[in-house]
Amino acid sequence: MSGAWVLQVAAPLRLTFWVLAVAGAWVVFMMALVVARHVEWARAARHRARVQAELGPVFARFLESDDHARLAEELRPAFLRMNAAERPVAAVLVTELMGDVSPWQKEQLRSTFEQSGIVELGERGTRRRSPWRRALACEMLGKIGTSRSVPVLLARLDDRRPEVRMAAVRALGDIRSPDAVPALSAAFLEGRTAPTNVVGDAMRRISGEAVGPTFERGVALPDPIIRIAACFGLGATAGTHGAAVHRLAEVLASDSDPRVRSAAASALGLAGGGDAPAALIAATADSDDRVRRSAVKALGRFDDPTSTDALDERTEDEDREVAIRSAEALHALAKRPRAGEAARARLESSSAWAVDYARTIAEVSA
Amino acid sequence: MIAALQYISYGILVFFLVYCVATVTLLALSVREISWYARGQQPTRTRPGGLAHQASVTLVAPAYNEETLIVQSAKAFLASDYESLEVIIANDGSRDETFARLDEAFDLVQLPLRGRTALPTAPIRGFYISRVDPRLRVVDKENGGRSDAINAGISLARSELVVITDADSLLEPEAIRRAVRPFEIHPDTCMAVGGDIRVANGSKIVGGQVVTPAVSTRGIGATQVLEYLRGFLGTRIAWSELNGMLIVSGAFGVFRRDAVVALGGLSEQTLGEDMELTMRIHHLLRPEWREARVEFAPDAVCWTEAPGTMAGLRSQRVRWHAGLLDNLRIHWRMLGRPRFGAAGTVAMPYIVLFEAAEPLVEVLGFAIVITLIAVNAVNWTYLAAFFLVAVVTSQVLNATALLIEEIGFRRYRWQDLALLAGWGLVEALWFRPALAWWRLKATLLALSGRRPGWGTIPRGAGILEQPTTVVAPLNR
Repeated sequence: MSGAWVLQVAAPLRLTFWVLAVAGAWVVFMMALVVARHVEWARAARHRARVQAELGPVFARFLESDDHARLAEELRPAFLRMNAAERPVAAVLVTELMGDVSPWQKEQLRSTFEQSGIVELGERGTRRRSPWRRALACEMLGKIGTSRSVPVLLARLDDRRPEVRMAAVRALGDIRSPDAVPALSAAFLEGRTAPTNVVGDAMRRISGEAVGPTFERGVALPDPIIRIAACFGLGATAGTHGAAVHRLAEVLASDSDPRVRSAAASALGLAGGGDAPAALIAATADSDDRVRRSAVKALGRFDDPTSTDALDERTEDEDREVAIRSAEALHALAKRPRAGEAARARLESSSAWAVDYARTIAEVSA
Repeated sequence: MIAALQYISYGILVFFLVYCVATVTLLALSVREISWYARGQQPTRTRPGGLAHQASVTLVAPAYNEETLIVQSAKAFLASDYESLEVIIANDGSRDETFARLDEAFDLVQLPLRGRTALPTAPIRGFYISRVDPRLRVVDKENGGRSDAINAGISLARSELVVITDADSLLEPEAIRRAVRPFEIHPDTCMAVGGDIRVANGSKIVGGQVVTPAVSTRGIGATQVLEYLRGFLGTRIAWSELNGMLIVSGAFGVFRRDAVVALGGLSEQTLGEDMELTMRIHHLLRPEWREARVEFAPDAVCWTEAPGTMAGLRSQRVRWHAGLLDNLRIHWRMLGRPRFGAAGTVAMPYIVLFEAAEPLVEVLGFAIVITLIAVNAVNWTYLAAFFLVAVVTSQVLNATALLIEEIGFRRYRWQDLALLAGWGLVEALWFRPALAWWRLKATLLALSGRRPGWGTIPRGAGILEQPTTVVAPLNR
């Protein structure tokens, strides 16, 4: 084509030959990889079947008999017999098993996995060269949930791959050890180790007294993403952190970013109690639609008769979603013991289209 | 004259080499990412997201004269395994029995329709909920085009996320759940996620679902399968990793509803409204909100019937290229600007060079060859060698795309892979020249201020005057 002359020039350098040779070799190499991958899929399926055939009955016997001593005896040799391709499959099986059992059985399994050396194998797995295996090992350790794995997982917070760091954060959240709080707090406030909400979620799962102050510090930081995650963190830990509701009410009233105020309103709905209804009623008059939407929705979760006036007013809101959510909140309150009478009266006297809308949906959905 | 042609040939060779290097780099990045993706995604495992609360999703599908398939499509959408799902079919003033078929099958009840809708649209005649499945809503409106119908659906949607698709798209039941995953990982920054669009020609389809993926034996179908694999798996994975995705396909994309509303909805001023919306997200949100992301979910699959004739393909590609040029014209200010991240500094130059300008270069190359033949100045041996080099390097791209498919998904059988490899060998002889010619036609139409089947080009820049309000956080 257009390169005829160029090839004439390039021919003495044998450029054409080399381009063809390299590109051709690359195609052959890629196609060989395609074939290898096709074969590997089939092999992986066989591995999965073999591991499931070996471990499935062992786990089934444990679930029937709760005989963890026998499980420990059978598990270690079974794991040691497996090759490098089979162990990840076994790790997935262990992870799934831990999600399916009762808390008591989980406790038994935990000590069994520790005694049989599975935890140690998992800890070694966090140092493997392949990042997906490191992440898988972190995930397995998290699901097993022994506190001895915490230092190993903390070390993975500095892993070079973000997926491994994220898996380590989640695993620490699964283990719920307070020992992880200082490192996770630093990760949360700096926002570098993993996405803020993933770290926040892990901390919310750990909960406890140690976590609340971090979220309190978070709502005062300049980064709105951290402030939003901190609001939801405070909402989830309100049960153990007494000042959470008050702090959220302050954020709802004073934060300059409507996204953060909206998050504070939603979090108050999750937290409940204390100053929440009063703060949310005030927020139904916020100038930003998003804040009003979150506030009226959150009010539907409380059994507070004083909120019915504000909700009734908002059924005529210029924002369609605020109006519908207010009507839905009134419908929800109508079924509550304290706010029920006031809400029913409002619904009966209302001529707002949103109330009709919510009623039709409730009737059709019933 | 011969000397001038020689210099142009130099330029074309450099262009060709830069294209190969850039595309192979993207493919290599995609291979790396898909390896990770496949490993972390054993079919039996669920990967926990960051949200305890499942984000609510509304699927919006515009329908115009779709009476034959609309009921089956609605049922297929409702068969999704996503729990918190609402489906809105927007009947865009169909002249056939589309609305009547829906009413008959789903027993529709009218909902009150007052209050300010979020986006301006053609008049809405009614909004309905189904007694058979209350997750289904139907908007009946006057005709206003695809974008307008989708905007009506988005206006009446009540969820945090909206899935935009077509009435004839075949979504896999788990597609929405998989496409929502990036929002769970980045609930405050992820604005949109594109799904993987695959060509259904040749596959076995039952009840609106692809049950046995296969490749059509016809060249036009098989070559488009290969083309989609290259485009979606080959490069979009890499663009997503770089946060430089400039297009979320209109056949299947998930967006933050409040972001779309804040940006003014889908534009009616371009033929490539899906790409335009994605570019607008980068253009308007990223300068002030650098973390805003557009992602790609390669395992969230939507099947679509590709054109089965050259005439159909020509019409589609002329339209697509005209849309691309529209969007580049509207968003040219992003070109090379670091404030838009990789979308401005890497993706825009790539698209301008290798998608917008490529047909000009390609057709120029063919013209030079013809001229050299005409003046009897061509060296046939070297011409054949250069053509061979072009074919082999395009095979590099094809083979890598097939590798990505095999690493991540393994949807196709041996015979399908062989068929794809075979048609890939000859696509440079018939498919690529045809594409180049059609795209050149679209370029000439655009340069003369016209567009295929739609009169003159509207001004377009008005859509950038939308307020750039930021979106609310996703609930957890």
